[in-house]
Amino acid sequence: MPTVPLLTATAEALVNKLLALDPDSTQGLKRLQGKRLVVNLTDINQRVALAISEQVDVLALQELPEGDEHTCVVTTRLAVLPKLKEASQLTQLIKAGELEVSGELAIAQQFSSVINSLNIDWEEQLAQYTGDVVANQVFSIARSVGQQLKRFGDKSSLIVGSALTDEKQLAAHKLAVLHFSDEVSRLRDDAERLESRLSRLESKQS
Amino acid sequence: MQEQQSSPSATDQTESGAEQSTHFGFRQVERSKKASLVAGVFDSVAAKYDMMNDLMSMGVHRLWKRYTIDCSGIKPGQKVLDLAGGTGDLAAKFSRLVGPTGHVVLADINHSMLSVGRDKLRDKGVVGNVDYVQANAEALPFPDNHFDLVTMAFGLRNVTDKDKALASIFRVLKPGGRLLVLEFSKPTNDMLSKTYDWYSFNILPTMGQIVANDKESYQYLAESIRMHPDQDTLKGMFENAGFERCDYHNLTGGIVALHRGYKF
Repeated sequence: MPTVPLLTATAEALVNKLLALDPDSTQGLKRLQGKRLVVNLTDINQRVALAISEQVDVLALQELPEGDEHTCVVTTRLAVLPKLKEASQLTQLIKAGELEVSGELAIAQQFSSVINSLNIDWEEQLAQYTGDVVANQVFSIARSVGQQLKRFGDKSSLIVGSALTDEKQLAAHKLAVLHFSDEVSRLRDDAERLESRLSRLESKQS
Repeated sequence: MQEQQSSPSATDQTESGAEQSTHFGFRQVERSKKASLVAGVFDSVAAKYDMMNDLMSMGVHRLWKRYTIDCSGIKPGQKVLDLAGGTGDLAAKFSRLVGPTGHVVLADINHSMLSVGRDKLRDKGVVGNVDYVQANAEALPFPDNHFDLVTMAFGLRNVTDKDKALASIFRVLKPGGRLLVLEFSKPTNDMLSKTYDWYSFNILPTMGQIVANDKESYQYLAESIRMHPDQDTLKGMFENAGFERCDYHNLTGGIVALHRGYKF
């Protein structure tokens, strides 16, 4: 079975479904109609294009197009992709050599902005299938369970931390670690001072 | 059946009576009658064509077509001819990719298929940059050097004179344009080949009988696939027609192959 077309088909269905769930996203997408964002992943030798019309078509290109006013080509590695979520980080990544952009950078920034500003009312989505009452109850229970799990997680980490540092003394206490770091810094400073004194003495002798 | 399967030629003509006969599945028929026989098959299956494609390939035909689009290199503003475009799977996507400044022509020799395709695309809201033309691939009614891309998905094997069709496509392509032919081909693995044969000659016609109430058309489908030139023969036919940088890519073990050629 052709794996890459299967992956792009899944990604395409997912992106379009998510965009459809937020009616406000269509406005942002309209500004991008006729534009293409091409992501060239050098480490896995894949070129994925997001061609924007009234929907987003995801293509696994065989040839890398040139960037122009309608096409933004972003060349990067797979590991850098999550960092592209922040449009403000793009310039920093370009300076760091993690990202190369040819063509219209605004296409990448606008698309990133459309995805980041997605605001999906999941409760409303569920209500279409189950009705308002059931959806509200499900989300109330989920929120309550989530809060309880968070409280339980916080409490557990406190208990485990205290048992490891105070009772069993298997790990150092946070304050002890800070104190140790300070001591190491002081020792490094002392050693550097001694080294400079020694070199001064050596230069005097010679 | 074995004898007939082993003799697909570069052209559709038989050794004896080369000018008069061609194959229609495993049968030999008069060349002038093949088009109407193929038309009969597609008139019969047009209404349930999409559903049968999904059933027979278990949905994988959509991935083969996606791969074809991935290889198209199509850009906004370009002109595409989707030959034997049937129910418009490729044309719908090309319409979005070329945008309002581009142009897609969905062409099919069969009126029933063209009607189903046109209705389907219009229902999906694909309008504005798509035209529908009933055309024979052997004598395309378009100017020379007109299209940036010509695609033909699962259509070439039904054409009576494939060499003539390739020459006609070459004529309408712009210099720098490319032809993509997605077509059933020869599996590269013996085990897969045997399983595929069994599936084609036992399951497909039965499926056609149950779903479309038409066993013969799906028997023809299986036979026409066996009579279609293999990967290297078709590549040679591309080169004979004048295409350059010709290559092919096997999909699903060679059950299907995508052939590509450029006009320079």
